[in-house]
Amino acid sequence: MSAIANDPAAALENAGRPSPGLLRRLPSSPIALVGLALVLFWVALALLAPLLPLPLPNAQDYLAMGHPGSSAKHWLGVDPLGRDLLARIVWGGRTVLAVAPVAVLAAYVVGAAMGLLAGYYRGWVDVAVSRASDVILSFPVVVLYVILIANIGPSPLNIVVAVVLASAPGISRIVRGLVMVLMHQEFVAAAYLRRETDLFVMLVELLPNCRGPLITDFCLRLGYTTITIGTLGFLGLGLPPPNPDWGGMVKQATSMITVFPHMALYPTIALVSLILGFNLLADGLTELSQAD
Amino acid sequence: MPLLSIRDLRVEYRTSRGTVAAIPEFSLDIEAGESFGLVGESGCGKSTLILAIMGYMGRNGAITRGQILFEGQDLVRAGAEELRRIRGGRIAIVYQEPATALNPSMTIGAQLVEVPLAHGMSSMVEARRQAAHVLADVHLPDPDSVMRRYPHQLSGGQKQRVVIAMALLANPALLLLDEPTTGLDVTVEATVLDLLNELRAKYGTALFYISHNLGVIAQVCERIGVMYAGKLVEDAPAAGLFRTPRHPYTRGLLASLPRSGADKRGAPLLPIPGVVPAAGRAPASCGFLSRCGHAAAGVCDAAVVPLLLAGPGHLVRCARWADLPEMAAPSPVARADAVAATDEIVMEAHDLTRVYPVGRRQLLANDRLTLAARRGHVLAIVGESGSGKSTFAKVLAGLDTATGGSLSVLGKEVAARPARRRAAALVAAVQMVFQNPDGTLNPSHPVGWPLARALHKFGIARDRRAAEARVSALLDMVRLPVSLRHALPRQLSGGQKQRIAIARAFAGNPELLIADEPVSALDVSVQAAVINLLLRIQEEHRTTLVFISHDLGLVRYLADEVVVMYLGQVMEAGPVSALFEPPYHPYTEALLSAAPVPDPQIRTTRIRLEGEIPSPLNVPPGCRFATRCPRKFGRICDDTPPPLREAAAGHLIHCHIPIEELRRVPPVFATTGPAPAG
Amino acid sequence: MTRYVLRRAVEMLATLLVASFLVFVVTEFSPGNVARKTLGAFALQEQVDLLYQKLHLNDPLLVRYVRWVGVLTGVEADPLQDPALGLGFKDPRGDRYFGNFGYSTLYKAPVNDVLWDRLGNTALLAGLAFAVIVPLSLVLGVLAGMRAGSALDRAVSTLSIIMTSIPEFALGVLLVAVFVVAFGILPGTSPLDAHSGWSIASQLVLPVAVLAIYDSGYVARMVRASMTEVMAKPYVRTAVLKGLPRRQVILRHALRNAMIAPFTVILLQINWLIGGVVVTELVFAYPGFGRMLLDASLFGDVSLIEAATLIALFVATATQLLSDIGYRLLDPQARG
Repeated sequence: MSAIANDPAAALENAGRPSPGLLRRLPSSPIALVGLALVLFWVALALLAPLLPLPLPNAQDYLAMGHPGSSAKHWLGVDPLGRDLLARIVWGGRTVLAVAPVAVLAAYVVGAAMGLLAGYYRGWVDVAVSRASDVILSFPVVVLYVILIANIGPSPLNIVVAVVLASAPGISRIVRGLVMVLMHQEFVAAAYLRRETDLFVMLVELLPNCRGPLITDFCLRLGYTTITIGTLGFLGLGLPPPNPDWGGMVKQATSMITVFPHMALYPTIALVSLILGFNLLADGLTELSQAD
Repeated sequence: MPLLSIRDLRVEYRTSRGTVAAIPEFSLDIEAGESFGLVGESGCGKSTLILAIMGYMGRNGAITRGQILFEGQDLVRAGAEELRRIRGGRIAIVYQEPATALNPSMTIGAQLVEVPLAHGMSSMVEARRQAAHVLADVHLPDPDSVMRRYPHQLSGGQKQRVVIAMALLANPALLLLDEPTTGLDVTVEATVLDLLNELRAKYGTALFYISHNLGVIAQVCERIGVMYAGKLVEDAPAAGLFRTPRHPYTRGLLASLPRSGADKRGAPLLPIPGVVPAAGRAPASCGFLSRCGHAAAGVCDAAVVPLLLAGPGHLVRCARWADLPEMAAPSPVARADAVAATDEIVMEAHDLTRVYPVGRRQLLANDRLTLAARRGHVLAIVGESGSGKSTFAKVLAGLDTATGGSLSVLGKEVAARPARRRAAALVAAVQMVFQNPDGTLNPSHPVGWPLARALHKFGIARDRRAAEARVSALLDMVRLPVSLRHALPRQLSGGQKQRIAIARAFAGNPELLIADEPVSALDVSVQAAVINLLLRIQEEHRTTLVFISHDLGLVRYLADEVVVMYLGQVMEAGPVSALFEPPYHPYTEALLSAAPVPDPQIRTTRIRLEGEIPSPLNVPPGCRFATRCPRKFGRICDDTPPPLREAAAGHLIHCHIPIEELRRVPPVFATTGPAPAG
Repeated sequence: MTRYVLRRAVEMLATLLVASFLVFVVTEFSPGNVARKTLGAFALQEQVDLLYQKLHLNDPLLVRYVRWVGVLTGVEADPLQDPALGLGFKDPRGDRYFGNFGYSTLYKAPVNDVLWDRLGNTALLAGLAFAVIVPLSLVLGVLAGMRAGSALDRAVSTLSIIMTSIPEFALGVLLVAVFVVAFGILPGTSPLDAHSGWSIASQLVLPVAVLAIYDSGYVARMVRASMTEVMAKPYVRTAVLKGLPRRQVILRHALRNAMIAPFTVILLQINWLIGGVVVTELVFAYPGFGRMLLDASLFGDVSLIEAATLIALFVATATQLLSDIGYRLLDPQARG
C-alpha cells in the first residue's frame, strides 16, 4: 500500500495546491534525481534490449551449465537452465516496465472516475462507491492477488485486471478527498454561474487540480506494482515460462541458492533497484511539493 | 534603559532561490509599561520581527546582525536555558489564531499550569489556583469548568481569552501581540481590545502590538510605528501619527481608508499604486521608492535613508518629508442621496427562508428575509459571521436554493431555481464576485480562460476573434494589461485576481452583481483600488450591486441602502444616511460601537455585547438578538418576535423598543477634535 | 459509543458476507471443478459427472453460495460427508455444526483440522514481527520527525525508503545469502521442527526479520510524516515559547498528537502482515496459514480458500473496527 493511499489527510494537505511545474523543478531534489536516474537506466535497457549484443533470453548454453558463474561470454553467468542471466534480466525488465505502467494507468482511470463521482455527487453514489471500496480494501492485498490470479490464471492482462481491482479503491479515496475540498473553492461556484455541466466541472475544473498529489501517488504505485509483479512471479503466479520474469527467476534459483547464490541475487538486485528508483522519485516529489 | 531595545537587527531566510533579508535593518526601543503598535501590510516582516525577539525562526531563518537587548540582556546571544526562562516568563506572546495556538488533545487547565510550573513554581495546587485566578481576570465565567475543557469545546473569543491568560500567567514584563483579533467578529474583537486595555492598567505590562489594521492599533496603543519592506518608516505618538502623518506610505494608508463621514460622491478613496514588494526585493535606499508619488531622482534613490526627527518623538524615514505638503484633513461633504427612491426594483425577497437539516435539527440560515434592491443602487448587507448574509448571496446567485418564501430577480421568480435551471440570460444577468482571491480562479487554467469561457457560454462572442477582442476589452476595463491573460493565477497578486474576478462577472453584462466581502482578504492599500474600480464599473453600467461586508466604514462609504442582519433575520434596513444616525436598532448600535475607527480623535460611545452569536441550530424564540441585547427590557424580548417599526420613510427597525425611545440614544460617533461628526 | 460500535459491527458482517461471495464468484473462473478436485486427476469422467450431479454443482452460483453459508452456520449438512457418495470423508465433529467450513479437497481432511494449527503458527510469526515493528518504527519515525531536515532525519528517511523498496521474497533471498550461505549461522528453512538441528528460536529469526524490516520502513515513514507535521503546528510553537524545556515539548505536546494518525496505520499492519506471511512462509517453508492459502488457491480447494479468506477478512475488519474505536478515544475532538 502506498504512503498516500493510506493517509488521505496527507494528500489533502496539497489539495487545491496543484504545484504546477512540479516536474520542472525536479532537478532541485537530489533524491528525486537519483530515483529518476535508476528508473531511466532500466527504461533505457528495456528499450534497447533488442539492439544490445546479448544472447537470446531463452537460448540455452549447455556448455555454460557446468560453470554457471560469470564468464567472458556470460557476464552475469547463466541460470539453472543455462540461459544468460544478463539477457534475461534485461528482457525481464521489459516485461515489468510494460505491465506496471499500463496497470497503474488503468487503475487510475477507474479509480479517478470512482473518486470524482463519489466526491462530486456525494449521497448514494458516494455510499455505493465507498462500500464497494471497503470490501476490496478489507482483503489483505497479497491474499487478493493470490486468489484472483490463481483462479483467473496468470497473464499480463490478468495482472492488469488484478492491479486495477486492488488499486482503484485507494486512488478513488484520494481523488474523492481532493474533490470534496476543491468543491468548496469559489472557482467551482464561478463555473456554475456560467451554467457549466457536471461533467465539465468534474473533468476541466476539478480533475486538473488533483494532479499534484496524484503524481506522487502514481510513482509510489509504480513501485508497489513492481513489487506485486515480482512477488506474483515468485509465488509461481507470474508470466508463464519461458518468458523472463524477475520474480520467477528468483524462485527458480532459490533451490540452488547455497551453491550458486548469484542466480537469485542478480535478478533480486535488478528488481530492488527499479523499485527504489520509483520510491525515491516519489519521495523527492513529495519533498518538492511541500517546499512550496 | 528601555525595556526592549532592538539595534540594527538583520534577519535573513534561506530559500530555494537564495538568501532573502526579511528584515534588512531594524531598530526600536520600547519602555517598560509602554504600549507600542506596529502597523504594516502582509509581508512587511512584522511577524518575523516578533518571532526573532523570541529567538524562534525555524531552521532556515537566522539573525545575522544586531542585538535584541531585553532588560539589558542580549537575546541574540543568550543560551538555551536563559532563553527558555525569558520565554513565557518575562516575554509572552498572544497569537493570531487562537484555534491553532492551543494543543487540541490537552485540557485548558493542563496547558495553563505548565506556565507557572516552567517558571519556578513547584506546587501543582498553587499553579492551578493561579491559573483559575488569571482566567477570572480575563473574564471567563466559571474558570474551573473552563480548565477541564478541551480547546474545541470553546468559542473563538473564549480561546483567545485563554491564550491571553496563558501569556499573563507568569506576569511578564512584555507582551507581544500578533494580530490577536484577526478572524474574530467585530463585536468580539471590541471586547478583547477592551480586555487588553484593562489588563495593561492592572498588570503594568508593556505591549508590543502588531497589526495590519490601523483602527485596532489606534484603540490600544500610545505610540505607533509603521513598517514597510522590513524597515520602520515612521514612529510617532498615536495622536501625532494620525494628525500629521509624515511618511508618504503612512499617508497613503490613511488616504486609502474611508474617513468617517466621507462617501463615494464626496472624497474618493486614494489607493497606493503598485503592490508591496516581495521580501528582500525592495530598493535598498527607500523601500517605498517604486510606489511613492513624491520620489525625486538623486534624493530618494541615492543613499539609504535614515530615520529623521520630524517633531517631538516623531521619527520618519523619508528624505523629502519636509518638502511634502501638509496632508489635507478630509473635508466634510454633505451627503447627497443621488439615487432616487423611485428607481425600478430589480431584486425583491419576501419571507425568504433557507433551512438546512442537520441530523434531526434544523439550521436556520435565512429566516423570513424581506428586502429589495433598486436599479443602479448599492445595497449593502452587514452582519457578523453566522448572520446568513452569504447564504442569501448564494440563493440570489443560484448557487443554493431557498426552502421557503419568494425571491424575484428582474421579474422572474427564482427562490427555488438554481443557476442551471435558470435561463441563460438570467444567469448572465446575475453574477457574483467572491471573497477569497486565492480560490476564485482555477489554478490550472490561465486567467484569460474563465473570461473566454463565460463569453462562449453566454453566447456573447460567436467566434474566436470576437472572443479575444472582448477578453482584451474586459481586461482593459479592470485596468489590467492584456498580456496578463496567459498568466496563471499564482503569478498574480491578490488584488489582480479580484480584478479578474470582476472582469469575469461583467463578461455577461450583468444587471445585478453580488459582491461577497470582495476586498476583506486584500491589503489595505490594495482594497481602495479594487473598491474604486468596482464602483466605477457599477456606475458606468448602472449595475445594481449587492455588497456584503462586515466592514461598517466601507459600507458607510459606498452603500445607498443598508440591511443589517443577525442570525438569519433583518434587524434594520434603510438608506445609508439613516442607518448611521439614531434611532438605531440596538444591534446596529453595538456594531457601530465595536467598529475600530482609525482616528484616536473620534471617540465612540461604547456599548459592548456579551458572549458570541448563538448557533443558528438553536435560535432564541423571541427577538433573535435578545440573548445579547444590552437594551433588552423584559420577558417580551425573549418570548415574542419584535414588531416592524418604521422610523422614517424606508427606514425599518425590528425591535420592541418604541422608535421615540431609540431616537433618544446618543450618536455612537462623537469627535473630540474639530472634525464634525458624520 | 455503544451505538457506534454496534453499527460498525453490522457493517463489518455485511462486508464479510459480500467479500466471501466475491471469493465464491472468483473461484468460478478456476479450471476444473469441485468434483474433479475431489476425485483427483485419475478419476473417470463419468465418476466426476456423477458426483457433479449429486452435489448439485450445476445450481446457480447464488444457490450454491447460500448452501455454503448454510453449512457454515450449521443449518445444513455438509454434502461431501454424505456416506452415499462413498468418498469416505468424515468429520469427527459431525456433518452439521456451527463453524463447519467443510472438507478440504487438497488435504483430504476437514478444514477445521487443517486450519487452526497453521493459523497458530502464523499468529506466532506475525505476533513476533508486530512486536518488532511497533517499537522500531516508532523510535525511528519520532527521531527523524523531531527535527525535519536534520542529518538524522535524512539518514532515517533514506534507510526507510530502502527498507520499503525490497519485496519480502527479495529480502528473504538477500538474508539467506548473507546469514545462511555466507556465514552459516542461521537455518535457511523454518519447518518449526525441533529435530532439524536448529532451535525453534533460530528458525524464527529470518522469517520475523523479513516481515519486520519491510513493514517497519513503511510505518516509520508514516510516523515521521506525522511527527514532522505536528512539530510545525502552532501549538508546538506555543509550548516552546511558554518556556517549556524541549523534552517536555516533545513528550507532552508533540508525541500524543503525532500518534493519532499513525495509530490507525499501525493497527492496519496486522492486515498487511497476513499478506506478508504468504510470501515469507513460502520462502522459509514455514508451516503456516499463508502457505496453506497459497497451496489451496493453486489447487482450487474452494472450502479451504473460503475458510482462509473469511478468517483473513475477519482479522482485517476487526482491526479496522479497533482502530476506529481507538482513534475516537485518542482524539478528544472525535469524541465530541
